[in-house]
Amino acid sequence: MAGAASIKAEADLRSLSIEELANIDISSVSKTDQPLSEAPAAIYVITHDDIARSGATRLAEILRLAPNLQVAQVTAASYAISARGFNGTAAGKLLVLIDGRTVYSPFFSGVFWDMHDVPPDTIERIEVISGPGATLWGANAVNGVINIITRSPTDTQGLQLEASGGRLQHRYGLQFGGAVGERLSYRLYAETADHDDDVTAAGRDARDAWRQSQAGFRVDWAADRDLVTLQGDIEHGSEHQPRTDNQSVSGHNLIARWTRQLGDGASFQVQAYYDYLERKVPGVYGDFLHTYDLSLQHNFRLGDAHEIVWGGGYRLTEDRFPIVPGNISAAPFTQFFRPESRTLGLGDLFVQDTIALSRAVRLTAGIKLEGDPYSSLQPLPSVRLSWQASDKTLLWAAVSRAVRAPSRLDRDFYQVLGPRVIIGPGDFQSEKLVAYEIGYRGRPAARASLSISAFYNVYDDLRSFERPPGGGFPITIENGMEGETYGIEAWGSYQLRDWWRLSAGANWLHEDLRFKRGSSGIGGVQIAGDDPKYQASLRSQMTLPSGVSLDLDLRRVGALRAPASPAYTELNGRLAWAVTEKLELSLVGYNLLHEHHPEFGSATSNVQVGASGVESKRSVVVDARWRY
Amino acid sequence: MAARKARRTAAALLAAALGTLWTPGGALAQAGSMEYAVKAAYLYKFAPFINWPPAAFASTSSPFQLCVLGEDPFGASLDRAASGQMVDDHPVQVRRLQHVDARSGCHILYLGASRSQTDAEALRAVRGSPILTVADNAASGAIIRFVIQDNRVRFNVDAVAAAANRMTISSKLLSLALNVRGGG
Repeated sequence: MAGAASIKAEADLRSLSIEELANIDISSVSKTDQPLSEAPAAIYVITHDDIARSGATRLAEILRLAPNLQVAQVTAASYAISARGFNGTAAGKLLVLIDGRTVYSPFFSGVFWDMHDVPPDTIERIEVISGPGATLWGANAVNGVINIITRSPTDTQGLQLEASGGRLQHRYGLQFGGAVGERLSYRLYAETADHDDDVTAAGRDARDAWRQSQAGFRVDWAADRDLVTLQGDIEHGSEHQPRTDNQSVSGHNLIARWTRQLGDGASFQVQAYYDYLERKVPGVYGDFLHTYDLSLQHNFRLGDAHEIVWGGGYRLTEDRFPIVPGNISAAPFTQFFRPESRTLGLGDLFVQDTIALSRAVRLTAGIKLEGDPYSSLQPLPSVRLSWQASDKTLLWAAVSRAVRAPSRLDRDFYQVLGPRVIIGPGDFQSEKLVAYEIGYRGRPAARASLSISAFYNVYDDLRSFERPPGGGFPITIENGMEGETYGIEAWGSYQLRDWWRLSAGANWLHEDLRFKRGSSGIGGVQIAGDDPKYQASLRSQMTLPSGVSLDLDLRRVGALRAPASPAYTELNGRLAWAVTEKLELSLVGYNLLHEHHPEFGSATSNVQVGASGVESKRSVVVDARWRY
Repeated sequence: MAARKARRTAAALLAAALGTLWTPGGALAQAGSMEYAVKAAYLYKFAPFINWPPAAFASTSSPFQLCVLGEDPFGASLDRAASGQMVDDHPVQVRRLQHVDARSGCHILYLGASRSQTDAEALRAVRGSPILTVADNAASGAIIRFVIQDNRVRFNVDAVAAAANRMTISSKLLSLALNVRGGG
């Protein structure tokens, strides 16, 4: 929209006199306009069974199952995912962990969703917490935490082959689990998948096809009191780009974890991992990241009333972001990071005590101290109160503080035009949140479960772009925005029959963001994110006779403002038939209601550049799975 | 159109390349591109206020050549601004050069960042030829230098440098300039 506006503005310039030209304000950017969990938080758990029944294979598609997340597909490979607002392809207020390995990028505080797939068969469960989790999880756990936990190799024994394909996508997977003696079990997997080009709103080929292969292993050694896990993955992918040669993404990681049970409910865990990621767009830029992480955690009981967990960790990242000068992505601008390469350390210490005030009332108080590389030491406290009103009803309330630490993009990014610095680093500090939450979780009827949570979030020092006093350039990255958001999230399920379960979820969000006094307000408050006002889903899971199952998942997502995207309704479905104990055939359909539909902007946008007008296509896939 | 593509990519910033598509960059690029859209409009609108000696044109209908040396900050906005424009009977033609000299045939020369010539070298190479030199760099020694004041694109004029290139500048243009070096 802004692009169209500027072409019009240019056309107007032609008709202006030279005196009028001298009076054009160049800064006037177009302003278009489960089980009853005791956790006192808005937590939704995606189970292994839910994942298998949905037929979803990509991590981002699996996350659509959580009613407290907003998931929008941007291109075939890239997604915008957030909780409680601030969504965008660079959404930076979510912490995502895969078996304790943090996968948000220190480059922009967001997650490259195209680089972190987990084979769906190996996922035990995904805990999705909407709301801050900073006290335990740390920086970036501002609006939510996604915790992906893979299955023990003892649960994935034997050989499994899988092949699926349709007009738009294919996937082939191989998995093998075995054991050596009583104590050692292992799993190996390899999979390869590809996805064809989507279309743009104009009906053109979006040039966003991708192909990806990955392999990995997990070995568990279990003794009486000890569990030692060693696991790793390696991946390589290639993605079409609209204007350049294919982008390549690759990475590998290795995690070692030792947990010892100390008796009386106490345990100690130490974990270390190494993670390497690289992303290369030929002739444009590269992103190389090494992460080394060590963490310790100890939990124990103190007397009858206290459950204490404390720990700490240190993460070291070494990055390099070479940008090819004069590359076409930014022409005529030149962009770079200075320094191009950085080594950053992030250390933390935390302690949390859950105090049983009475049989039914528990108070959880905790604090994390985190020293991020750019800001001063940040205290991240949280207080949560839960009241088990009956064995069917849990009420909870919480107040927490969380921060989003500065990323390289906030602090070290330059954009120049000839000798002129257009964007330069300012003094960006952490974005801060104080969140107030209340919630109910319970079983209002024998076959029903329900969770409702409401939140009021107060944000300060949100990212903004500021001109120097008097105007002009360079524009710097500062903390000139603030505001409040509030909303409600609700989900529940009802077991209609033994063979038929209905689940529904909905959330509603109101955002009231504004620039602080003196801010230049560049781009408008929509630079913070692009969120639907509401979202709703309805899921039906039927287990029919003769090994047949039918799952339908209907979702409705409200309109997005900037980039504008109309509200949409879509349906995913899966019909499966267990032909024998070893063979299962299924038919999976994605986005069945429309030939194609936009989820994150129906046209190119300059406000949320991620919106490229790419539309998600209907896709039907036939899948065969053989277990031995 | 290559030019249109360049403009759109300017807005798309690092983001498009990253595939991650950084949120706010586009708005910034937009602010930058507005500045250059205005400058592009200026470039050909200067022409009626300048007197070129007749010898500067091969014939009465030969093109009026608007040259951009080195890195082009305008992209498509210059082509759009100039398309269909005439200076007297001369159709405006946009040219992009990596190297310039007195025989390049330029009437207006905008000094972008050039790898092969510094501003000073380029100005020396065209000194004495009837070429209106324009630059962003205030210290460049070009005849017209753009200045940003209160978020508006204004300019300074160096009448001494104009005289050295055998050109006269109308008093109206001089009156619009923020500063004029040398009597008009």
